[in-house]
Amino acid sequence: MNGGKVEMIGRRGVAVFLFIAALVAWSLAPAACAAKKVAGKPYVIGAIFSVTGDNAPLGVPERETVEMLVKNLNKSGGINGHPVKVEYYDDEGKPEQAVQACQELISNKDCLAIIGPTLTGPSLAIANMCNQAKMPLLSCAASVKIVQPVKNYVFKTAQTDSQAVSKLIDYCKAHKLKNIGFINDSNAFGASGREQWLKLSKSAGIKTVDMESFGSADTDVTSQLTKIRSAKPQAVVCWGTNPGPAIVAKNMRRLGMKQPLLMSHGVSNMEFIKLAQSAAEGVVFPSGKIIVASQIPASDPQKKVLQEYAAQYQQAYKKPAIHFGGHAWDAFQLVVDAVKKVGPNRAKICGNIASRKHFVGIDGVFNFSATDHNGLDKNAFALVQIKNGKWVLAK
Amino acid sequence: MATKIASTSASPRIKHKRAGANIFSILPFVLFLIAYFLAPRFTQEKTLTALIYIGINVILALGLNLLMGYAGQISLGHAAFFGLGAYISAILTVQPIGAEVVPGFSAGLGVIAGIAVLMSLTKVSGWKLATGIAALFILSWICRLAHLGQISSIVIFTTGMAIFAFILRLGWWKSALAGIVATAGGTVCARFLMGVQTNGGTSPWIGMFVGVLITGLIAYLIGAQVLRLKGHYLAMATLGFGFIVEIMFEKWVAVTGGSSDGICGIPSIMFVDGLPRPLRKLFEIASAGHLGPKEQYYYLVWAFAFLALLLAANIVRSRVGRAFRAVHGSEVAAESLGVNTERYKIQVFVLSAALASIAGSLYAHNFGVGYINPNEFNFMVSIQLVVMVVIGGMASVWGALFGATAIQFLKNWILTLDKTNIQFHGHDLALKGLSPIIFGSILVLVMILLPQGLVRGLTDIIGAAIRGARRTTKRSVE
Amino acid sequence: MDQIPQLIVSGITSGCIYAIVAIGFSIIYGGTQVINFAQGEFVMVGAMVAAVLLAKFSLALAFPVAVAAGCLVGVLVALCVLIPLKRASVITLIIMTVGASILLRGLAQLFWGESAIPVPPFTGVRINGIVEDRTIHIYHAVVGVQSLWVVGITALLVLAMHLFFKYTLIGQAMRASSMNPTGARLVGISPRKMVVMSFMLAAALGAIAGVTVSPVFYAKCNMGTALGLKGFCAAVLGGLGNFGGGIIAGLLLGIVEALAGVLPSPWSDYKDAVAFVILLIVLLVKPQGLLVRKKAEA
Repeated sequence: MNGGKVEMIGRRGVAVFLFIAALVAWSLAPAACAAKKVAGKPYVIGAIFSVTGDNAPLGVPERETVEMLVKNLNKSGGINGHPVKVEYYDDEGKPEQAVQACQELISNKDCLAIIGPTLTGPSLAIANMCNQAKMPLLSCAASVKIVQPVKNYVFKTAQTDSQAVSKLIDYCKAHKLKNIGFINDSNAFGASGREQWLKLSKSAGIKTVDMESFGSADTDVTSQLTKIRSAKPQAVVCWGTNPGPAIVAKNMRRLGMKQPLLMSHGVSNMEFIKLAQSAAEGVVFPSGKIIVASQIPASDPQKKVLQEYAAQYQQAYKKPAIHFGGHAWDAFQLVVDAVKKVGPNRAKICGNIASRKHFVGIDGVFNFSATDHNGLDKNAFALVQIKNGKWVLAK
Repeated sequence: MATKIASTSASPRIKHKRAGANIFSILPFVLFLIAYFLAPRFTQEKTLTALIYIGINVILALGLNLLMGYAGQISLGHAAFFGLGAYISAILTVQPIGAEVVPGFSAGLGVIAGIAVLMSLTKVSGWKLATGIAALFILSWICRLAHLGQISSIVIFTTGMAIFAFILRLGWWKSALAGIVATAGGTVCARFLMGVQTNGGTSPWIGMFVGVLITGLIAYLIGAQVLRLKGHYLAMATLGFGFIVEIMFEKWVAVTGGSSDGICGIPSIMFVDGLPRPLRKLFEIASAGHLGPKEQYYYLVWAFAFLALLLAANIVRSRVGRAFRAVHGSEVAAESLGVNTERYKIQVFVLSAALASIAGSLYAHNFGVGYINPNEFNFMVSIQLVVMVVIGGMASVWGALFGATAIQFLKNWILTLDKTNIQFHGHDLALKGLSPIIFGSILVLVMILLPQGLVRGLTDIIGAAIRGARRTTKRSVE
Repeated sequence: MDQIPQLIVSGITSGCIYAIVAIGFSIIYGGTQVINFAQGEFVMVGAMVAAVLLAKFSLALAFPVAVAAGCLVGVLVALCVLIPLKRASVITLIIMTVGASILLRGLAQLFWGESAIPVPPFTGVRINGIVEDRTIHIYHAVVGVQSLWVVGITALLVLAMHLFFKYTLIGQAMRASSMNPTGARLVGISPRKMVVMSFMLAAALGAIAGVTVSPVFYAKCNMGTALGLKGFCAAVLGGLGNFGGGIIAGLLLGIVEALAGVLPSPWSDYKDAVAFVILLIVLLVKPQGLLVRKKAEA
């Protein structure tokens, strides 16, 4: 009985070994096949977006934007005659998935650059990897930590939260709001915003009378709001991504708090208005100019590009273009422009982007440099207010 | 008739016993050893990365396997131990704890150590234990409030605990000892942390060691209380513990960086470079020059994995292992034979937690990534660990290996699903968001159809089929 | 300190849901000795179905359909559990329900998307074309009327369960089966039918809770996880199988959790951990539950 069992165990061990060997061989095979093929004509760009998970409302428009742009580009002959192929990955909002996706893209010799990820956590997770592997990365995420300290190969097209915070502080100063209650989502976006707020509000002479936070999955923030209420602020700032801010708005309304409610660009989508319903009325937030494209003065250099994108997106997907899709637009255009100029070489692409000046994008007018891999300032934002369920430029 | 049966069944048994460890039992180890050394020659970077993750998963799965398969318990929060190992190792090497947090933190750790001593020496539980814990915390708080020096702290603690013991009629010197451990532990911890702070971080090996120490300690605390109960209380306790740790990782931003920053810049370990010359030569020859940092890390991870495999295989076949199997079969029967089931269960649980902690440290120091984030240690990860063990087979060491590999490749495959464009009647079918559906279905289906796991289940089926075929051929011959 | 009545109000709302989920756990545990980790998903199914239907149809249609959907899901899970029930160990069954909960969540995400869906309240008022909740003031606290619905329906459910188990034949059969399965079988009660009945009942309760609470919280495909876990904590606190204990524990848990928000800032961030810390403490100190008199282990 004992001997039989030993034999059985041994056989099982061999079986498992064969299984693992087979899997490893299978994973090597496509690479071998690819090596045999003639160096393919299409240019490959990698794209990692959070198409599922809590932040899908950010990632889906990003992906749709890229799909739309690729289609149009290939219709008009691609880049110098080469078609462009994008390999999409869904990181589900999770850093380790982004890491896996990044590994795959890095090991693909044809991949010229990576666009995305959508969120800060995954971006931070792959930033070092891409830099060490000399793969240009154009992140669509908000946190300033992605590009500071500067890494050669890592860029960011989304506006930085510090710029959003400054824009909001400008609004506070203009409206003489000196005592602020602050509440943030405890995810990466909210936590980063909180940090920036603390830094910048102090030097602007604004006093934060109370600071609270809520979990991304929280369904009620009454406790935190009652604490803020008792600190008697003149306005409340909420930094987070949906559905948190909507709950904050609704709870504030329910508690009868009448202070102005200021938010972040995390609510720059229809989703927020749908969720918060009448509580969204009057909320002011900084946003990429795309959502108020038609109201931007003609003197703004971005006007033409904004309107074109808005029209294209509306026609292709039957819904308005939003702030987040713009990040992907900018990233894609930057890569395409670079490849057009210097050809399919990762290092050259990186060099081209790093020295790009006056690139008129959806997020703003970019001026990259060796010390600034984001290239934007606070004028990339417009202050928007929600009136009657629609977006208008705030006064 | 009876003698005939006896003889036919006796002889194969004796034959195998004489042969001892036959070729089949050694063969898999040999095969794996060869593959281990030669792998970097033949694989590309992508596969090497996957192999590193598989190795880490193997260590995790082995620990959990021992717990679930042999001790018959389930841990639904194992990612917590995994995460603790990772974070402790990362914090000690990169981001030493801020000076203002050190005193409270060390005091807390000291108290935990004291609780462990109290529990192990006095076997107290229920309300008495709760008061004991409260007493330790209060004493610690008093000492900190009054900024007492070391000697006075020790005196206060010892007297405090002795009084407490006297009131509750426990061994007074045991309680006093708990008090001493609490203060001494706290001081040692604080000294160590301050030392780490001034050095700007310590070596990853120390980080790993401390991680194992702390994780093992916590596992002991939970296990000692919960495992003496019948039924699935450990499942519930680990579930709750897993969430508490997850929340702690996310919210204790000063120490862990929270979910916005995580911890960046974690250094890797140059394994082969640190080895004595002859061993280094071995690796260099085996890998035929492909010995970059990633390859070295691969060798490191799988060295640990092999050790874990050997350890697990040894435990399974030893006296302790047989005791485990007895526990799983029937606790009452085992106890009546004199097997101390409670002690074994606690040992397995602590071991599985320690293994998870080691795996966590290896994960944190992974070359090329150097970044950890609370999202990587949440409930879904705990579930994935359970899936690994379940598919492989809960009472099979090789099953753990199988499960770890299968899950890693499955995760990779799911990731690439999104990349494939499938056309369905002219519409683009986006295969996204399938991860929970696939994992959930696997769990349900495997539990329904092959609860012993795929390795044992399939080999059993194949074995039965072969035996059935043999029997029919024998009969037709006769 | 004037925050406290407000917090107690929101605490009672979530507490009622925890209580219903706890009852669901106890029903299934009593009937089958299985801890059904998919309990929270039953709530989610009720909420999502109602959310989708209420966009076009009235509550009178949406409510029963949502509950029926919940029951259907419950029966499916019961069948999955039944197949290996006799020869399976407790671990196997626990893992299976965990798998079922993940599967349900994945399917919900596939069908209904990942975003939160706002749900109109039962008795609302139309503002700008959208139905929103009325509010009333009770002693320093602002209470949404939907929260009153939650409390009211919870009370009704508790009463209904009490009557069901005491006076109806099926209810008594279920109680008998949980107290002494072999004896119940001898009397002709089919254990398989009891398993299916317990799941169906627990699922119905969960679905009702889901429909009622979704206007307050939003319907989202991952809402089941948190609710299920905290309801589970409440069930353990009150003692698995003990209905009254589960209800009291659920309410207490909701209130304590809300009150934890009053604590000074670094500590209040850990509000979510409260339920689990209490769970851990209870398991370490008095695992049978705080509100249970010591019973002899069968």
